[in-house]
Formats: sequence, structure tokens, C-alpha cells
Amino acid sequence: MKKSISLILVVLLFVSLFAGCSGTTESAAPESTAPESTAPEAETPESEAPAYPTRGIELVVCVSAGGTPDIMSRLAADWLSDYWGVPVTVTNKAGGGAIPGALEALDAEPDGYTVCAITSQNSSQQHGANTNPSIDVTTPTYLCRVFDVDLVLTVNADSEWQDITEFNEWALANPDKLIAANTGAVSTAAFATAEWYNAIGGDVSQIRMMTTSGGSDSATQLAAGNCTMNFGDFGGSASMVEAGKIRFLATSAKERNPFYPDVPTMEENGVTGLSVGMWIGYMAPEGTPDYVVQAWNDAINVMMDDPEFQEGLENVRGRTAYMNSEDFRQLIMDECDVYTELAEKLGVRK
Amino acid sequence: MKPSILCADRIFGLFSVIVGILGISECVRLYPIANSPLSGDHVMLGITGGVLIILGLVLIVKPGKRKFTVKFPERATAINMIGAAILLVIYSVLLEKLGFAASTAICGVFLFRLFGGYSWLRCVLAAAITAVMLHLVFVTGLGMAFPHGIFF
Amino acid sequence: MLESFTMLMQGFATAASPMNLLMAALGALVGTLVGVLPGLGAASAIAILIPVTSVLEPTQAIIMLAGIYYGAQYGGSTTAILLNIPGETASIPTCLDGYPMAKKGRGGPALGISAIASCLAGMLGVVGLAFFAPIFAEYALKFGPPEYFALMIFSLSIIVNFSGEYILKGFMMGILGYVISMVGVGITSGLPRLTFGSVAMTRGFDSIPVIIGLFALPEVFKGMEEKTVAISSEKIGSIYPSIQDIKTSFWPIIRGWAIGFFLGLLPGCSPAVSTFMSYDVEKKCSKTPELFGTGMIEGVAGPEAANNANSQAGFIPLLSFGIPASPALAVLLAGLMIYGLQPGPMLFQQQGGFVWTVIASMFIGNLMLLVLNLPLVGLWVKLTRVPYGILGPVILFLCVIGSYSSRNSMFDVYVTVIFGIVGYFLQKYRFPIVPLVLCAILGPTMERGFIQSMAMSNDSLLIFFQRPISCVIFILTILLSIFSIKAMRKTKKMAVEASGEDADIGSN
Repeated sequence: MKKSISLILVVLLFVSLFAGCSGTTESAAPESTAPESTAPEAETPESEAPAYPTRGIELVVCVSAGGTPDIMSRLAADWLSDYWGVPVTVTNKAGGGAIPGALEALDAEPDGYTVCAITSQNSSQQHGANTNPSIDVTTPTYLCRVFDVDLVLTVNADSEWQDITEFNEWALANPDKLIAANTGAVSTAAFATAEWYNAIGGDVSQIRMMTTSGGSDSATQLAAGNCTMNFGDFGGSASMVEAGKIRFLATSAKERNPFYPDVPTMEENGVTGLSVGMWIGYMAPEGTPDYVVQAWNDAINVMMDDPEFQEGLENVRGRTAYMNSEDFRQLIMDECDVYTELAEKLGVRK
Repeated sequence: MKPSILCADRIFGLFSVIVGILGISECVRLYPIANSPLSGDHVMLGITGGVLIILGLVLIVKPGKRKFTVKFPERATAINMIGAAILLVIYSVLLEKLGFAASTAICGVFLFRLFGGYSWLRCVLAAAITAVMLHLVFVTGLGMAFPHGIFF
Repeated sequence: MLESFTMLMQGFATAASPMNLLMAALGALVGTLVGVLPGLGAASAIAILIPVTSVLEPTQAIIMLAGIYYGAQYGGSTTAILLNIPGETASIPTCLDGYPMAKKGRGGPALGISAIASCLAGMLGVVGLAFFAPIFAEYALKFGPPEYFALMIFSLSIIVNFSGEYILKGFMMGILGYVISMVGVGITSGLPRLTFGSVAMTRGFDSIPVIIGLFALPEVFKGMEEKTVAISSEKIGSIYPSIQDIKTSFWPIIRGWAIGFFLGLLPGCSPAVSTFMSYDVEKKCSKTPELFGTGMIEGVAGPEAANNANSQAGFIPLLSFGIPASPALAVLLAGLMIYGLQPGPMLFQQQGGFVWTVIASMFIGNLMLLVLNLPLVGLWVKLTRVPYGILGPVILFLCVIGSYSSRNSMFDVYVTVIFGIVGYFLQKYRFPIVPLVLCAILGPTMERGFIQSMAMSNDSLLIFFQRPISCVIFILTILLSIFSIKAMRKTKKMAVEASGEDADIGSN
């Protein structure tokens, strides 16, 4: 509430400037200074690590407001702002396959005050899809992985397939009729579809892909019967499933999703070896000092245990899956190999 | 009146042809990547590129008859306008280097001078007030993330 | 339908509680202010305020966020009318006649009628929402990629009417606008195209910096050139529109509402489509189409009504399927989810009280918007009398802020400056700018529709004529284009006869 009141005050001040100007020119005396939101000036201890953070942190998110990485990051930013007592501001730098925003963030000073949210799309997937990737995955300082998002295969509710086994059989027999939704040739949906089709013994190059503008668009196209299947996150499909337009068949995650316990896993149905998933983690420019990495990991650990945060997370049906800096880096390196191989099979590696 | 070789329509036509050629070349580059001949990033590039080349050529051959006269401002005003345009470019560059408040204040002084012809003192005052106000509203109040400058 | 009516009445009862009323008013007010400040769109305002509203109950918070959404729709028209800065794409048609009105000293009536049109259309939109929400849910899905492609072609056919004297140039400007929209990452391959190796270009051209550059900056230069003392030094007269103004605007408002509402029902259809279409329809319905662009009140009333009706109708796909029609609604969707309210038909059943309260609050909020804004009109109009020496530089700064904030990128600022300088010369030589902007906005939707259709049909172009809806839209497009070209010729002839010289028909 306090923020919005100061917002209104400031806007009114601004308006009054214009009103003041209309009479005589710039006679307005310097206005009373509005409260500046300064960070608590923590004294730097003489000994080792300097205090962090002492001023606002910019958290760059490479998708537009409302996307899953944005919602999750805003939850985290909100909590971190309260915890650290400095504003952690989410800045959306969307477009260009989430790559230019990340590049810009990685170009900032490595002081821990510019942090960037990453997903597999702008790390391992772009590495796998390009022989000369825009983002060099070996250079950034990886802070930690925080969230995990499960993927689920959905089909139209009016379709004949009641379970994943039936669908697998049909998909193998009719590659020419299968149209899979994806959100771009290099996207989690495309990779997940390729991996699944590969795992059931099909040839990915035989099926058609329909590119949509995002997860909820994919669900819409599927509900309208414009495509046959969609591999997306639960959140993007949930409202269409509730509406009785589309049906969950199986999730590619290792375990059933706690919010959708009725949806079986692929593994239960004999489709094994699936690893494409979606996660959200945070990285900072190359050379970011260790005390920043430490501070983030400490704070995130406290955050994950906070019931209030958990409640907020439950509302957006999100799930934390923490990984420390080292493990996170290793995960990305491992995924790079997986995606390189998949991209070659899909025929999108350039 | 016969259109001159370098009239606006012909320049525009030529520009369109160039853009068209760029479009076609990008289309050719992207074609091998597409899943099928009609669904891929190259389709619209090719269509628009082709149409632009044809229409551009038509315009070069047959420019429209101009039934109005284009009047450019007199010397003094023109210099002021060019000054404002250059200041705008300088402002964009400074924004990245000095941050929002400082660059707004600096460029504001000259812009107020150019637009209103006020005395330097008034310009400095007006620029300072504008910079503080805009900073308060957009950066402090609304949390906009302008490039970090040296002062704010 | 009767059932939804009773539910709506219950909603009104809850929405009229003092706290809910306060939230609606606060939302509408903040929204208007946010809309007035260029660049800071409803999407970012809602995103910023979601954490702030978390202290409120879900219903109150959503009432306030919805208020910000439609308040900003209205507020955006203020800068469009007074300063020729369209804060968002949907406000461009408002500029076309609103700004000339302000220049003529009729900024007051222009703002007044835009407030009235917004309010009326908004309230009608809420009524429509209550009646159509349950029925419409079924139909939204019939509108697939081929239909979208057809609809985009249909929208683009109105280019003819914005092309000025030489239609060929209008088409070329349109195609150039389309090429601009293709710069960046290709939608299917994810590979950069037309970027020539530049990283900044891979994000593509956002429409806001292009629009600010082409509309607002040339206006500032023109102001310098004409040694403007103030945008409107005339007496503003009454800030309230006259009876005559209201009479003239009545049907445009109704038509604008109908266009805005029905296009708003289509999931993912840009609000700009409806405002442009409404402007075009008004021009066609008018007895004096040649006067459009010189300050016709119908040209303000229609698009404003369309814009607000569209924003209300957008709640139907949002609440029933979770499909956001605009970035602002996408953020609102995130807001709903943060409060644990998953949109979908179940939302109407499980959270019926909540849904209908929000709908009712929008009705009340639109009324409040009118009551709050009519007195403010006088204040806004004063803006146009601020000496140009002061206002000019401030507008320049606001343009830069606006273009930067759309994506937090310096690249966009450079885009604005370059387009501003080019735009000045384009206007000098009367090259039609509207087709370029329209195509730049609609291009991506059109391309996506085409490529998706091709994926569906396995590269058969026949799909556009096999599906009944898209086939009908295509036939309509052809008929309308023939009609437009004929009407255009006639208007031109009439204008020449009337004034003895060739008029500059709608080419700015």
C-alpha cells in the first residue's frame, strides 16, 4: 500500500508541475524532496567479504510479463526484497528467443547487482541448436537453480485416445497425421516432443510441427483441434483441461506432479529415458565474486522454507527444486550434450 | 511538371527495391531450414520481397504527380531543428553513459534554449526541475530501470 | 441467461460495498494516471502493483487491477489527443482526429467525448460480458489460424482508405511496415532474420518505439518549424461536449462498441484491429469523409468506444479459457493465478461470486471513470496551453522514456530517434504513415496464422476457402476493397470539385 501511495503522490507532484507551468514559466520552486528509497547503508566489514546487497538488484527476465519464468521470478524477487531490505526489481527484456536479454545482462558489471533468470531455452537448448551459440554456457557465474516445471503431454478431449499407450501406438502408426504444437523450433516443447517420439521408436523428421506464440496458445490450438498433441507445462494447459477441451495423458517427469496426482508418468507406461524438462535458475555475469553466490544461495534456502512463500508458490502451482551453483553448472553442461543430440535428430542444429 | 530524376517517389522506389532484394536474399538463406515449402520463416520474406521489388520499379518508372509544394523552413529555424535532432541523439548516447537524471538535465538546458529561447539561467533551472521531476516519477516512483549512471 | 442476470445483481450488491467501491475508484484513478504517462502501459503498471496489492483480499485486489487496466485504456487517449503521442497501438486512430481537434482549440470536447464514449462502451461491454460470457466460450475456438489469417487480410484491406492520393504508395508503405515487423527471430526456426549479424536487432522492432518515432517526434519538429507558441492557445471553450457533439457521436459510439466488443471476443486479437476498423467504418458512414483527419468528433468517439468495449470483451476469453488478448491481460492473468484463481469455466462455477463481483465492479468503475475524469479534462487541457518552449523538450523526454520503457532497451531509443527523423520527411512528402504502422502491428499475427494454417493443411492453400468462416471473410475482403477504391475515387472527385484543389485525404 505504501508504495502505491507514494506513487500517487509523485504523480500528483508531476501534474502540479504542469499546472504550475501553465501560468508563468518555470517559477516553481524546487519541490520538497520525495522520500528516496535508499538501501540501508551497511558498513563494509574490514575483514573479508563486503556486505551484499547494499543497493537495489536488477533481476532480468527474458520473457514478457505473465510468462512462467516471470511469475516465478516475481514471487522470488518479492520475497528477496523483503528479506534483504533492498528492492529486487524484475525487468522484462523479452524477445529474440530469450537470448538478447540474457546477453545484455551478462554484459553488466559482475558485482551481483544484475542477475538474470535462465531456463534451458537460453542456456543448454540454444547451445545444442547452434554450432556457434550466441551465449557461451561456460562463462556465466551460475548462482543456483530454484524452480522446476513438469511437462505433460495433452491431446484434444474429443479424441479417441484415453491413455498414453493408445496414443503412442497411434502416433507410431500415423506419423503423417501427427501435428505437434511447439513454441519454436528451439523450444522445450519441440525438444520434449522429439525426445518422446524418439523414445517410442518413431522418426521425428516424419511428423509435422505447428509453431504457436506460447504455452497458452498451444493449448488453445489443441482445444480447437488444429493440432494433435502438445507437450507443455501443466500451468499452460490447466484451464483448458478444466474446461473439458483437452486431456492430460502423461507427464514426462520422473514422479507424478503433486498438484495433478491423477496424471500418470511416462515411465509408469513404459516410455523411459525422458529428461527434457523445464527449470528456472539464476545466473550473473562472468567473474561475479563468491560472496554474491553465497548470499543468493543462503537467501534462497531460507526462502524455500518460508511458509508464506510456499503458499504463494502453491497458488501458481509452482515447485522448488534447488540446486547449488556447482550442481547447476553441471546440469547445464550435461543438458548441452542431450540437446545437441536431439537437435541433430530434429534437424534444427545449425 | 515533369518529375525530376531524384524526386521523393523515385528515392522511395529505389529504397523499396533494395529492401526487397534483402528480403529475397534472406528468404533464399532460410529456405533450406524450413520444414516444408510453405511453412517456414522464409515464406513471407519472399512474398514481400518480390512485391516490393515490383512495386518499387513501378514507382521509379511512374512516380506520382505531386500536387503540393514541399516547403522547408528558413535557415535559422532549420538550424534549430537540426540542433534538436542532434541533441536527441546525444541524449540517447549520454543516457547510457551518465544515467537518466544527469543526461536529462544536461540535454534539457540546450533543448529549452533551442525551443523557447529563454535566458541560460532559466534554461538551467527548467532543465534541473524537469530532470528531478521525471526522475522522481519514473525512476523512484515507478521503478523504471534506466541504465545505471554515475550519479543515480 | 436469466441465471447470469441474477448472479450479476448479486455481484452488484457485493461490488457496492465501500471497500470494493474504493478499490474500483483507486484502480480507475491510478490507471488513468498511468495511461496519461506515455510509455508506462497498463501491463507494466499492473506488474508493478501486483506485489503491492497482495495485502488486499483477492476480490479487492483484482477489482483494483482491473480498474488499472480499463483506466489506462482511457488515460492513453489523453496524450493521444493532446500531444499526438499514442501510448499504445490502439490509440493511434484517436490521434488522427483528436490531435487536430486539440490544435483547433477543441481539446475539451475531444477529451469529453472520449470519456463519454469510453464509459458508455465500457458499460455496454459489461452488459455484453454478462450475456455472452457463457455462450461465447464455445465459439471462440472455431476461430483458428486460417480465420486469423483471413481476418488480418481483412484488416489490412482498410489500408486503401489510409493511403492518400496514390494507393500504390500506401501498399508499399504497408509492406515496408510488415518487413520491419519481420526483423528479429523467425517465428518457426528461432533463427535471426534481417538482422545482419546485430545482436540488438534480434529482439526485433517493438511497435511502441516505431509509433512514437513516427507520430510524436515529427510533431515536435513541426511545432518548432511553425514556431508554435502553444499547442492550443485558443480559448478551450466548454470542456463538456455540446448537445450537437453528443448527437453526432451517438451512432459512432454504438458502432464502435459493436466492433470493439465482437472483435474483443476473439482470443488473441489485437485491440488495435478494432480501433482502426472503427475509424474506417466511421469514415465510410460519414457524409463528409474528406474531412476526416482534420478534427472530426466521430473519428474520436468511434475508436474510443471500440477500444474500451474491446478491453471489456477481452475478459471473456481471459476468464473462461485463460487466453489473454493483450500483454496487460496476460499480466492480469498472472495476478489471478497468484491469488490461486485459475481461469476456466470452473472459475465461473466455483468462484461465481468473485467473477460476477469483478464484472459488476467494472460497470461501476466505468461510471466512476467518467465522474472522475470529466472534471480532470480541464486540467489536462491546460497542458496544451503550456508554452511550447517548455512543453516541447518535455515531450521529447517523455518520448524517450516511453520508448525505453516498452522493453527496457536503449536500442529502442535509437529506433525512436531514427524513425522520428525519417518520419518528419515522410510527412513532408505526404507518404502515408498509417499503413506502415498498421502492418507493423498486425504482421506477426498474419504470418503466424499463415504458417500455422500451412502446418494444418500440409501446404495446401485451399484451406483458406474450405473453412466456411475464413472463406466468408475473404469474400468480404474482396467486396470491401472494391467498394473502398470506388468510394475513394468518388470522394476525391467531390473534394476536388468542392475545394478546387486536390485534398490530402487521410494521409497523415
